[in-house]
Order: sequence, then C-alpha cells, then structure tokens
Amino acid sequence: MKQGILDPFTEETGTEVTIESGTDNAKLRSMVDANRVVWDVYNGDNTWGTSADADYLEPLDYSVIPQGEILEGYSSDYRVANTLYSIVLAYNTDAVTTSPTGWADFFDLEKYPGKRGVMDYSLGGIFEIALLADGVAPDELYPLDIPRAIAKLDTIKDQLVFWQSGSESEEIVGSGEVSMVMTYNARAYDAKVNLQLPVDYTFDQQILAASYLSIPKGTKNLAAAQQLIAFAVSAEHNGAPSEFIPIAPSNTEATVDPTMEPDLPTSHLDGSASFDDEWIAQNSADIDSAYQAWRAQ
Amino acid sequence: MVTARVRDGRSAASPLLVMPLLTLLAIFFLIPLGTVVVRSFTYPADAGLANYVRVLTDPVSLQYAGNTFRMALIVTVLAVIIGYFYAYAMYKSRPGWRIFLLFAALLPFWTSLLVRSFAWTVILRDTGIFNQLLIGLGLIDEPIPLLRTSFAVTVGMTQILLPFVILPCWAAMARVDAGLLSASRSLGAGPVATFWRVFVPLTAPGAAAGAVLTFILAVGYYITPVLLGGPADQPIAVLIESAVQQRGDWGTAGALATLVLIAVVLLLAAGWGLLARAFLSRKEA
Repeated sequence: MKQGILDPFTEETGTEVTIESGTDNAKLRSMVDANRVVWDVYNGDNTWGTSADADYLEPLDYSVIPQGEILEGYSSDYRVANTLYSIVLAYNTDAVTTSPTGWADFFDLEKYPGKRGVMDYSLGGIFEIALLADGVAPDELYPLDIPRAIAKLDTIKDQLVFWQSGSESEEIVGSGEVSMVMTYNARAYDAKVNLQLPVDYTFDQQILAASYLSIPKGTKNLAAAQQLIAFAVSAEHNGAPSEFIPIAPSNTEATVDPTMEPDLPTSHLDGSASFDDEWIAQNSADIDSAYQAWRAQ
Repeated sequence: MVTARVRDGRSAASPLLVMPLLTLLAIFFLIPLGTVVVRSFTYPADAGLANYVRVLTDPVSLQYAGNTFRMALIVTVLAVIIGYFYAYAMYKSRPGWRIFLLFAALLPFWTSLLVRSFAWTVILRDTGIFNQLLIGLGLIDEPIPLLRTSFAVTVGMTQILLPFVILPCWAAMARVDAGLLSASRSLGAGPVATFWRVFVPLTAPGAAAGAVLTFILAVGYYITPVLLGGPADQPIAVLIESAVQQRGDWGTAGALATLVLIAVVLLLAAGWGLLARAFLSRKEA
C-alpha cells in the first residue's frame, strides 16, 4: 500500500499522506458524530460504505475518480473498491485427494470425511456457502434464506471448527485438524505457496468481496482525498499490490503481476458469487442474531 | 500512605492529595461510563427502555450472560483455591524459593494477555504439545479435543487470573503475626487446627480481595473465551462487540453493558454481605 500507492502519490502531487493502521468503523462513526474527523480517506471492509452509512461519508467525485474503469458493481455513491479478494474453499491435500469443486463438497462428509473450518463471523459468508452448497444459484443468493442456510449448516454442525483469525484458518487446515476450511483466497495462497503447507484451494464458487475507499464526512482535505482515491484506483497504480499478494485490482484496465495472475480472484470470475453489501447492511442485525442464536445452541 | 498521614495529624492535606487521581478517574472512567449508560436509553433517540426490553427478552443474550457468569464463578473458585495454596507455599518456603515462586507467578503476568491466550491454543490444540505428548507416550491414539471447549477456557482463564489471587493472599499472609500461630500451638491446637482456625481467618480478607478482583475481571473477559472456547462458551462481551463494531448499535451495546455492570454490583454486594456476616459471627463465637 505504502510503496505501491502512497509514496508515488506524494512524489507526484506533493501531498504528504500519514498512515494510521487499524480500520475501525465504530471509531469513524464517533469521529463524525463528534465532528473531529482526523481521517481523510478510509480503507474499510465490504460491510462499510453502503447507503446505510450515508450520514458518515462524503459522496465520491466521479469526475475525478475513473468510475468507468472499475469492475461493475464495485463503485457506488460513497465508496469505490480498491482491491478485490474472495472467500474460497481450501483443503488439506493429505486428507483430501480428489479436488473439491464447490461448496456442496464442503458439506459432503461421506465423500470427504474430516472436520470443517468456518469463519466465526455472521457477515463473512457462512450462510452464503451453505446456500450455494444447497443448490442456490450464485446470482440468487439474496435475499438470504437464513432458515435454509441454518438447516444446511446443521447437517455438519458437529464437525465445524470456528476460526477467529486468518492465520488460525491456515493453521487448522495446514495441520490437518480440519480437512477443509472456508477462508480468504490470500490466506489459502499463503498457506500453500509461502508456508509450503499441504494445502490447496479452489476458486470454484468463490464469493467475491472487496475492500473499499471512502471519505469520512467533514474532512478538511476533501479535494486531496478525492485525488488520492482517484490515484489509488487508477489503471496505472491499482495493480501494484498484486506484486506482493494475490489481491486483485478493481480497475479492469490495471495491469497485474503476470506470475500472480492465476492466483487472483478476478481470473476466475465464471460461476462466482458476490456479497450483496447493500442487502447485508440493511439486515445485519437480523443476520447476526440468527447466527449467534444458531451457534450457541 | 493515607493512614500514616492520619496518624501524623496531617489528615487535612489528604483529600487534596487524591484530587488529581479523582479528576483522572472522572475524566477517563466516570464520564465514558456515564455516556455508555445514557446511550442505552437514548440510542436511537426515542429508545427509552426499548433496548433493555429487547436484550432481556432475547434468549441469546440471556444464554451468553449465563455463559459469562457461570465461567466467571468457576474460574473464581478455582483461582482462589489454587492461588491461596500457592501463596501458602510461598509463605512456608525459604526466602530463595519464595522469590522463585513469586517470580514464577509474576512472569506470565508481564506477558500480553493475547500472547498467553494464544500460548494455550498452541498447548491444547489437536496437534499441540499436550496431545502430542500423550500420543507419544502411547496413552491415546487419537488426539483428545481440548481446544474450543469449556475446559480450555477454564484452564486458560484460571491461569491468567491467578496472580490476582496470589498477590493479595501473599500480602495478607506476610502480615500474619507468627506469635499468634505459636500461641495457638502452645495452647494445644494441632497444626491442622491452627491452620484452619487461626491462619485462614487471619488471611481470608486477602483471599476475598483476590476473589472480588478475579470475578470482576473474569466477567469482562473477551479474548480468552473467544480464542479457547467453543460455540457454547462465548461471553456476553462478544454480543457487545458485535453490536458496536458491526452494527454501530450503541443502544443495545449500552444496555448489555449496563446490565452486566448492575449484575456484578449486586453479586458483589451479596457476596460481600455473606463474607462480612461470616467474619462477624466468627468473632462473636
């Protein structure tokens, strides 16, 4: 981020950028409520920046930001995606010898015995993978049929291991504690390529997600913030992170690192699903309480 | 410090001396706490008691609250028993050993909570040290699932909270007048009776202080039960976190936090009353 985008931005425009790590939606809301906004550009997760957060954000200026070049569905009034990632099925290659081809295999304990690792986060895709496994088409996931998802999850509930952090997801599948895990594509890649663990993964039925740039309402550097976002998602710079990690650019005209290209979610868009962040944002309380109630049973 | 000043007849100065501390507490503790309570009634603006009604009629919040208080109680009882006897071992040891024991108790205390919780995951997981040892010894064939169980949470939290019992117990024991114990022995009480009827009552306030500290801290625990526990061990803090971080719902979070605070105060008041009565009746007897 710093090397690929922020330093070149300072070089080109002379605007100094200070990084503060630790994205925190609650902190951003408090800043805006208290009218003490110290962040000019915010790189939030996919739950942030929908119309539900309109009170906290400045509208993006698409006369500056190249909206036409952004992958369809990944830019809206208050946010634009800067990087794309996905939720994939990763598996331990000692335990699983025939490659799984989708979430139905994740729920098939007879064909693929062993425990399953799932992300312990109601909005992280656990209901989505259950519905995909149950035969729901990727473009018909929303509105989520939560009772149906829970019924499907119940079929393997006693085999589920709930992971809390991305590194834990790599550890449980790498050690063989679980035979399959739902995890981020970059985590699956890290386990397989960087850590050389007996892990492989499939992009089949991946669920695409993105991280988004947005501008907290009331920033004093509005014009510079719009400029920085335009710079970060430009065709010239948006592909820079793919030199280091399998995170795809949102700009369809950006060039990516050729050795990383096969490992990017955007190289496998056929048959993938996407999070409907607008629907999720409007229903997050219901999704979360259904999840907590189910998990605690 | 304050008592010493009172004896010196300079008590007039002491309220002023604690003013900076009280100001600090007011700014960084009371005001934020008040904000949390106020928001539980005013978020959304017309909330009134609605947040409380919703939380109290939600089976999930009640279940998570049950998990929290059950675990806090179990951990407090275990920590007090183990911590008290650990402090007693320190009391009975020669100075060299005593320093070693104190150091051994404090060393984990200086390590980050997150690191200690993760360390327990390394020890307890299926491929962890403990299971590998048992398999290596031929005692078991398949790893025993230890991580993500109530057992793991109990062990982890008890270990992490032990110093909060050991230190007040040790402080109480170090102040015990050895003459009283000799007197008890010389008056014909055996070592067991001396321990239970003289030593324990003299040091029980230390154990009670440790129990109170441990219980309050255990109710607020978040990282350890989340990392070590299974789905049935999740604490109420998880719901508060998800209300604030995921939904920005200060009202629900505030109501949950306020209810936990009230429950802790009531439980402590009840516990304190019981203890006070126990000590008073002992003195009368």
